[in-house]
Amino acid sequence: MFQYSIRRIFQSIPILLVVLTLVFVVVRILPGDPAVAFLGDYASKESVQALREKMGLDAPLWLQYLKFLKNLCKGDLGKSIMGYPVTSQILNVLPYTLELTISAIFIGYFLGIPLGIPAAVRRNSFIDYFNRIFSLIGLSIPAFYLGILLMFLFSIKLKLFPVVGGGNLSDLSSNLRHLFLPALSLGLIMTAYITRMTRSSLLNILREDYVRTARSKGITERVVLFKHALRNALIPIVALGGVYAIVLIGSSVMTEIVFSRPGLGSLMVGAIKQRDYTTLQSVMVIYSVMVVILNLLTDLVYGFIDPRIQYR
Amino acid sequence: MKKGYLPYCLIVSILIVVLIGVFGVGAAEKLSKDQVITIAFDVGDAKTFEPHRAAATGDRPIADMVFNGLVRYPPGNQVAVEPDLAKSWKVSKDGKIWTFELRKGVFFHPFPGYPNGYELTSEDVVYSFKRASTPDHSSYAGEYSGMTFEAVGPNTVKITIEKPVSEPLFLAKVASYAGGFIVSKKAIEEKGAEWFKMNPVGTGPFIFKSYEPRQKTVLVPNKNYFRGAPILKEVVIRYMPSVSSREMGLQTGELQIIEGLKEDKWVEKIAALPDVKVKAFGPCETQMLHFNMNKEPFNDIRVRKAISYAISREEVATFMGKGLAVPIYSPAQAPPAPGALTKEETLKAEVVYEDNIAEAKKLLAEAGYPNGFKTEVIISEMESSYKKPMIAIQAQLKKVGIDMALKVVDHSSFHSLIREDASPIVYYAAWRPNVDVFLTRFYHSDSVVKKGKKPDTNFSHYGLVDANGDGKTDSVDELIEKARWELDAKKQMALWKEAQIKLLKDVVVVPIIRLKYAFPMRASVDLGNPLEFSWATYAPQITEKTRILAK
Repeated sequence: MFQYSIRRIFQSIPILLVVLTLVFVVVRILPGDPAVAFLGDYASKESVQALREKMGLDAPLWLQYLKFLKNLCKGDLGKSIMGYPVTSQILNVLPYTLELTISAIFIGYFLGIPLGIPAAVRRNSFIDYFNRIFSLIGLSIPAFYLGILLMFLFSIKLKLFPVVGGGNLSDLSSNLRHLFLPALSLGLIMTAYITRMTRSSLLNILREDYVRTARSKGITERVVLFKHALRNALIPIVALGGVYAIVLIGSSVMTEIVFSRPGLGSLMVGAIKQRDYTTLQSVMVIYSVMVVILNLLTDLVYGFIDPRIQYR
Repeated sequence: MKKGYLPYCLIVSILIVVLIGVFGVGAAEKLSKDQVITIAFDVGDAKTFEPHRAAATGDRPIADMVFNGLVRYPPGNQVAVEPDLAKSWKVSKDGKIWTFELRKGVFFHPFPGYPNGYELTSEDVVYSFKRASTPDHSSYAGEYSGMTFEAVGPNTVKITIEKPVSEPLFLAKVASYAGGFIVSKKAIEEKGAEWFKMNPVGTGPFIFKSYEPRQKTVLVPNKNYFRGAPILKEVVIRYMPSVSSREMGLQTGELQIIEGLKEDKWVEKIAALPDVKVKAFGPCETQMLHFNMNKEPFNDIRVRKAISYAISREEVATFMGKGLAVPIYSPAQAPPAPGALTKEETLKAEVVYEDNIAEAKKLLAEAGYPNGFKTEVIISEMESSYKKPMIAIQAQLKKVGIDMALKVVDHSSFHSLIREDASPIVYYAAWRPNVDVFLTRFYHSDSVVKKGKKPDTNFSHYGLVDANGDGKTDSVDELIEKARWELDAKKQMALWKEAQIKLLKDVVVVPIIRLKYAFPMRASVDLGNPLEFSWATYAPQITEKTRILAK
């Protein structure tokens, strides 16, 4: 397994390189001069030119690319257009994105599995229809819109939770209060995914021969369901946690903006608007690394919970 | 009444008056215990803390709170100037030498190595202006060319200008705006320019405390502020691009002031909320439609005039909401800015072409477009300042057969593309410090995009093309320059107005509306200034007098 992991990590390097090259080119193809975006339309031509030179934007593209790769290899992500170290920016906001993603996955599993089981067991019953409608809504509604609805109910009407910022990481109570609504809005979307997945996976398992055999042996329905069927049905659900996390990282961008939370998503959107190439490239590096790691973890977890899978 | 009761009645009356005075006024002015103001802007992040670079909505208020100038535009009513760090000034007879006497006892904010700050001297002032003249550190370097700065005493600064300008134009250069902010020489020299970038040190009512990227900047009061210690205990500037989040933050009380949408209906909705007040203030931006005379068919004055006739400013203003939008007729700023043409002046000069579909169709037919034509215009995604008014104009032009497609791009791309001469019409929203700057940057031949000597925002190419079809190149360069060096303010304004009338006669541009700003705030916020005309910050100004009243 160790050898497999090392091999996978090395295999990821060309993928990362392609992604980084694409990001580097795409941000520069976008019309919009970072110097004008930074200085504003009132700035004089001389000032814009001076800043362009200072930022190294007047250098040939290939030279900028090589410099970017060289700095990246040294672990230097550079400074934002404002002059703030990008590494510090990312380290400051990364915990907020991670806590949001992990909480949302937790909510998704915590609610999704118990909701999916009765839907599968009592197929075409009221509870099944209810769950199907719930998950359809969950899959259709954007997380940021759900966030606004939750803010309206819990913050404006009930005055229970704050709506601005991410709270203080060193103050657990403040942090949890700020985390609850964004995590819930993403978590409910996640719940919809997991409810559907649980239902369909369990339905397939319940039709298997070994379940029928278990029933014919006179084992109680509860034992059949939880010991024989659910354990097997959970394999793809749990293993796909990594894939869900990738989906969530994407959805969290708007949620972070709506809740004015610090995070990689809001960092990235701000960087796009400001044509802050350095920050944007660095955030994309982090995102790419996270996706590669999560994919690797998914594969490893799959093998761990399903003995039929072997690493070669 | 018996004589004996009179003194008692008098005493009782006086007591009642005193009690009403004490408790009445006391109740009205009782301060909240929580003197923290959080103001949220519609931006993703701060762009800079360097005052000579600050140009964005989220940055100018910080420069305004942290720094001072030699003179300032009074908070909330920025029309005339008043003393700031300079207590007085005088100018030589030839208008070339300006001498400023500084206030004594003004201290810079504390910074490492200077726990109590240090007293401002003329050295700091000279250093600041020299820095403002350098493109490496300032966006406004061009404003200070031909000027030299000298400290002639610890509290006396002499500024020499090669070509004298009128008082309003000169004082604008040394006001607490753009390049006029005074920075701490010692902080920059001893701690380094890179350090200063993230740690601004000034003399203003608030001290920079901290910055969290894409989240917030925190300022704390400067207890040694020369106008008196601020009442507020903290000012938090939040960067929140989502309007619904700002709106909800205001409702929950987490935010005290928010940048609103420049839309009437939204403002009305917010104003109806409990404990929220909104006051629209001006002028903040003028919106104009510039014709690119380098592109057909806009090189034909008849086509331009036809478009002008097809447009109804009143309709655009109504579409935008008349609480915030006001029709304008001046091609350089809008009243009350000194030197901007009023509607009456343009009517008198017979240069108003508007709201006449029949005339528009007639002119189009004369120009060879009896059935109109198709064109594609690049426009910014920004709703109130660009997209929405252009949608109104698009509908108006449809009535005369002009099919104007709008290519919507993000704001940064818009600025790049229009500077590359890519759009036949440029709808532009701007405010500049005075009419001279406006005329120079939008209509002087040097400023023509791509082709000018100093390419800037002359999108029409006026000054390099024959605008009215008489075979000669038309220009207002001479009038602009003559006005700039005119020392008599009245004559200067007359020259500015002459240039504006010529621009309107040649239909270079169609002034459309000016759009006021609306920053909803909690009813308990008392800004301590009138909030009438706040162009230098784009936002309500928070000063040492700003406070939060108890409910």
